[in-house]
Amino acid sequence: MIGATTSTNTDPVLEVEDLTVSFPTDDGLVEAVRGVSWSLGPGRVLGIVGESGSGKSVSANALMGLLPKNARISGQARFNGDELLAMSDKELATLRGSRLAMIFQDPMTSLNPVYRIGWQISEAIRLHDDVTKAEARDRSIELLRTVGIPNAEERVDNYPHEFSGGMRQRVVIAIGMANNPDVIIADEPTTALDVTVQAQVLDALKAARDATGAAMILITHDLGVVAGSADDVVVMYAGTGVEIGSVDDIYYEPRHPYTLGLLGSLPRMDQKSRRLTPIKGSPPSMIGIGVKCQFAPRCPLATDICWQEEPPLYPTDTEGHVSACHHWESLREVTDPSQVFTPVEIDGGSEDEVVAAPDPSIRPDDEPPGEEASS
Amino acid sequence: MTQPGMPSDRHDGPDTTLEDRDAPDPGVQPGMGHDVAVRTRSQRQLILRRFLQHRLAMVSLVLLLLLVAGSLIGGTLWRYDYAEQLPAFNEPPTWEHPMGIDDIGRDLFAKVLRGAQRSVQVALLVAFLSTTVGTIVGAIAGYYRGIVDSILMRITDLFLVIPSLAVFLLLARIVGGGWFQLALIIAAFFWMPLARIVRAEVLSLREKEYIEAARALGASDLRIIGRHLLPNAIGSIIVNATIVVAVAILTETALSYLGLGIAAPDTSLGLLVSEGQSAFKTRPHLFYWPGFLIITIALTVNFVGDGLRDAFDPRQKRVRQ
Repeated sequence: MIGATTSTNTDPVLEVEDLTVSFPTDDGLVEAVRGVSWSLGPGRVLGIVGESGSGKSVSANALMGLLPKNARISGQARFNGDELLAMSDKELATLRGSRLAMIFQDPMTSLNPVYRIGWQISEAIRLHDDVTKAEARDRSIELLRTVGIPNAEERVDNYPHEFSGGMRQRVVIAIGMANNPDVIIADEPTTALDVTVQAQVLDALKAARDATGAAMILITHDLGVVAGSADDVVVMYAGTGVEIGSVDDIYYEPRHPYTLGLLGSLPRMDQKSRRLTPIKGSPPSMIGIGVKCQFAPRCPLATDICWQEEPPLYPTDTEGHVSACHHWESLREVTDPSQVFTPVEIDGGSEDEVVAAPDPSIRPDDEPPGEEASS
Repeated sequence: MTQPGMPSDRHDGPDTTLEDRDAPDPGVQPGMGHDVAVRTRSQRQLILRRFLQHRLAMVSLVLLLLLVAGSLIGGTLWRYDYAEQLPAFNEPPTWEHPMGIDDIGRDLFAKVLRGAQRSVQVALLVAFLSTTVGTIVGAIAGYYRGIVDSILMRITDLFLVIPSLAVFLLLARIVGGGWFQLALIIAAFFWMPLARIVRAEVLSLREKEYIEAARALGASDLRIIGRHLLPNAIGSIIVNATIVVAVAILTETALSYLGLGIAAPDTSLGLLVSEGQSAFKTRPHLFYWPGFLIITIALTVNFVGDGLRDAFDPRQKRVRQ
């Protein structure tokens, strides 16, 4: 299912280099995205994961030119060789919806309540394509079928309020794929939905990709969604990509403690009784960020160097798998998150107040803290 | 781009499983998978239905339409012309002259018809002009915000604080007493409330995700304003327009009464009231008929506006009996 359309030796359709976005506010400059780089091959799915405020959505909106005017954007984003960030709004408008499509988070609000959905899909088609209303309508029905809406011929004349959340998100996907885009950016497409509906929407997204051959950027904080759908993963923390690699690299050989912590805080059905290992603390404020590893305050592996130098993206053992951690090599030996992070107490009793040991052993596998915590 | 992106045989493939998956899930599709025929009503139909069931508004609407139609075409059908000098004068109502004859020998019914025609013309033109200007100003200010908003709203404030009666007085002297000029002058001071209302609506609507989605589709600013923002604000605009009709008719009346509006030999309801009041004691019908008409038009327009406001209000689930 994964990577069926992969062709590795073609040029990336979208290549982002050192993308930086900041917003001036009364409290200071909010550095929402701090130099993130990745590339997206044709037909590939790139998952961008991270917690709220890590800069996932802001970086996607920056590419679409949908940020407020006060946003300061720098860096490069080549879309089929053209520099997106240098384009005027008019030039971008011709790309938006035709070559670059976006699917928004909340299907309850991303459809206009006063128009029939057929009108809204047709609008997407007719904005970029010179077809008659009847042709656009036929095409709309076709699209609705592709994303799995039953009775598409009748439903095309319904209003958004007559659809459930999952159905509306399919309509939004149908609009996104209407012009056979090269890239579909799906910004948390399943977050606002019921868990049971999420899988259906992911199937609809896959159907949309199969039908159009589009590459996709899947922005989410749900690691399960990424595991099932993405080819490559960018893990974002505090506005930058801390670990980038294929989905297998990220899940089976994480080389950044943040990724490891994320995996450890995810309940899994396929592993017998395992304590969750939460990452203590919360992400830093994005105002007045100093030069250091931004994860250091929460990281059990942090040493002096982490507080003095912001780690570059180190190449790891696998090609294309990079990690922004000074101590990535020490994670080679780690097989379970509990070797680095403290598992939760089952009674929820007294927890260690210490968020991260200031100077732990660089080789955490020598003295696994997981043993003593479960006493 | 024009090629049929998805061949139809695609649905024989893996996509059918998508549809199958929905079938046993009744929660997703209320009524659709079963034999229960649920007639889906569009927003427009719902609003129309709510309006039609608003009794006071419907009675008012019928009455208003009769009055407007009567005043616009009645003058040409009636057997006397409003300017025609008859051999008799100062006569009480008779079958021949239902409202009597005034002191210089003109049929009052013909004059009332003519006066109502002018008043209604002025009111409708004022409503049309002020709604157009107010909507455009409000939409631009709310959509672009920032400096554009500041400039437009300060102009709006300026128009609100200008003592309009003084300006009416001045302008009426300059442009004379034609009904068209009068409508322009009144409209110039009637667009501000709507501009503020539309601006407020657009400010809140523009933050909706479907507006961002429209932008992500490549829609132009003009298209987003015209096709996505304003249709969502149409309720407030229509309701405001009806209120403007009522206020404009009263304003026209007041101005004509003061001698600043429509001038003789043409006539309007306000002018007729003004002419009739001198004979209030002896021939009250000269005064009452035009006055009654003014009140009826203003009242029915207000009731229609009320009905529309209720019909557009989405919280109004139950239809008023």
